[in-house]
Amino acid sequence: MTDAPPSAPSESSEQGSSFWDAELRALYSALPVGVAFLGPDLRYQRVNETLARLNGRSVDAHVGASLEEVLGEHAPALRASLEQVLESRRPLEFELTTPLPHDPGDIRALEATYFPVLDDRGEILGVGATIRDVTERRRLELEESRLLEEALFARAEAEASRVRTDDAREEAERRGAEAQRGRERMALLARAGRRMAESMDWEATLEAVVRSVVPGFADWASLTVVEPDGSLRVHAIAHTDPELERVAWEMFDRYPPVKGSASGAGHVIRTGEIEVLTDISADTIRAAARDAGHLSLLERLAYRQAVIAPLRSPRGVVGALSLVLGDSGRRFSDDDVQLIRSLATRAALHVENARLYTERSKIAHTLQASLQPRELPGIPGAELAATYLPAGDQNTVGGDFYEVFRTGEETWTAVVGDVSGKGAPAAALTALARYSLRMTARMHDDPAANLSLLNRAFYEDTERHEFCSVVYARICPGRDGLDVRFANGGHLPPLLVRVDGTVEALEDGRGPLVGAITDAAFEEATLCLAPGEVLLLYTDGVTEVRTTDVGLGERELRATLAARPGGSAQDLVGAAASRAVELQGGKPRDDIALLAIRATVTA
Amino acid sequence: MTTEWRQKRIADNESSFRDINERLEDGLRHVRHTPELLRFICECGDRRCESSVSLTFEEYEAVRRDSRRFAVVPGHVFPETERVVAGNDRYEVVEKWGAAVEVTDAADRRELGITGRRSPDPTP
Repeated sequence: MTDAPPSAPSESSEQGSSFWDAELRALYSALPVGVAFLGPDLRYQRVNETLARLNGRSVDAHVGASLEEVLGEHAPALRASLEQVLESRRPLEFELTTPLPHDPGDIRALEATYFPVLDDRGEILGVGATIRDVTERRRLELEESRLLEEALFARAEAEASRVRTDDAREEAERRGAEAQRGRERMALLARAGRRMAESMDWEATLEAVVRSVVPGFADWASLTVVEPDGSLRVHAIAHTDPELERVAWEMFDRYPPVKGSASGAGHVIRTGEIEVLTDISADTIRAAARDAGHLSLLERLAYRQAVIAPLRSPRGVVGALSLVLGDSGRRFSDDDVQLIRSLATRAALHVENARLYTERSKIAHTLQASLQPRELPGIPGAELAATYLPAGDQNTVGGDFYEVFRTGEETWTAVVGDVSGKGAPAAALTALARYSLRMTARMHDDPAANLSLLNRAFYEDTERHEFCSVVYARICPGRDGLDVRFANGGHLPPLLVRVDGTVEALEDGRGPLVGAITDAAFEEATLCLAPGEVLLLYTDGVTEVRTTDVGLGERELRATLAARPGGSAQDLVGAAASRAVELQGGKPRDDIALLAIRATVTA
Repeated sequence: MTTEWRQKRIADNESSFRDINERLEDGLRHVRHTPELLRFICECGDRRCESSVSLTFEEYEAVRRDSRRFAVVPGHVFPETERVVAGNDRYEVVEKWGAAVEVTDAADRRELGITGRRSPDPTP
């Protein structure tokens, strides 16, 4: 280290200065940081070895050198800083990362402090500098920061991964729930469809359907139908809260839907378009209310979302199905709306089918009634009783028939038959058989001849040679009872029930089915029915029992009749019909027709 | 699965990633030496995305001035629920619209309540 003494000293002061200089030199040398003192002209006056090494030149080479001579291209920036220190008389500290002057490839991180050096009078003597090489520390700090940054990012990635996992799980759960809800929708539709298919009682069925959507798919629901006079009637309501269900009924009783309304069931029925109301506001409710009372009821029912689907049938809109969500917080999904559409479609078809069924039932009932005698005639010395139970749906016309009519002064004709087929074609055949026999019976006494004429009519006048089975009996009250002449055209043999309960099948007089073959020949048999005896004519629906025991029905019929010796004609007919229905589980597969003729006293 | 639910789910994911980036940014601000470009999690709504985006603190804060905006890898955009309002080769800024805004506003932890913040700048 070299320095220039500031002034000529005395001997004692020279000794002191020498000591001070040596001490300072030792101190400079011992310092681990670079130290420098620069004069006011910013030329180096003193530097230590540490700084000299950083600058790449010897201590001595610094003395008197300018910043530019020592630092080269880095000098201007430092010069500006040092001039600032001289001017402001305030220290300046900063950090910098810079290549060493003598080795541009050696980048060092330095902490530098420059401070003004003043004499006792406050005059500037120069600038002191300490330069700390913190390159290694900075490297460690940077490494620490990098590791910390990586750790922070790794934590963020881990958190993001959790978010992704949670999201995937949530979506899987939601998809599972949606799949479950989809299954529930399908099950609901299947149940509704089954229920509608099983019953033609549309009012009870659709009430059940309305109930089935609550609470699973709606907080409450209602069904509005168009009455025959065109008015609207709320037919069914279901609500999760029984009290609010009562409120809903009260509202619709007091304020029934009207077609002129701007929204709701009346609007949907008028337009035929589905209405989906989301986020129903208080203003919407107020606008829909007809008066304060209506508003109060609407507010109690808490409409938040509603879907109203028209019940469209080929004849037009027959009603509307409304599902409402209130304060439960649920919302209708697109799939829910589709479900409501499907339900409404099914309901519309059901209502339409039920109405058609009702109409057909009325027609069938009227037709059926027209094909049976309004009442049995009175025959002297005879007691008559008959019953007819059509099988299956009420709208199906059966193929069995019976008839008793007067054919002369003292003669009557009794007929029981069964035409092939069901419904309208069977009705036509029945009419053909009945009216043909009514006409021929007045012209011919002979039962076999009547069957022959009927055979010709069937064979020639039906397109597919339809046929029937008929027992034709001509009854004439006689001295010993009832004289009966009969012919059997392929029918079950009549039963004779004697007074003691004995039952006998009358096999005589049997011939072929009527209409089955051309020129069929029929035979006549005779019988005298003594007082108390009963002649029973019946169709195969009486004895047809679904069992492997083919004889069961007939045995049961005979047993039923035998158990009532001396019974009236009505008793026997009633008992036989009841037993037949019972044996067929309450649902006879075929029509049941029974006609009992009981001889009473000699005429 | 409804469209609205999907849009909200995307917004939920983006808000969650934004929360993570908020904590990341806070941590980075305590690091002595950070590079100028910082790595953030891509805030897009795609659950499968594991990308990162590079922004300066200033750029990130500019995005965060609006509750509806998110920084995503260029192209990581769901047009049915957001639109790109700014971008460069490092990242794009998407802005939510529609039903998703309710979600992103409510999830903005820098603003209590559900109002959400709005940047006066149409682009950050």
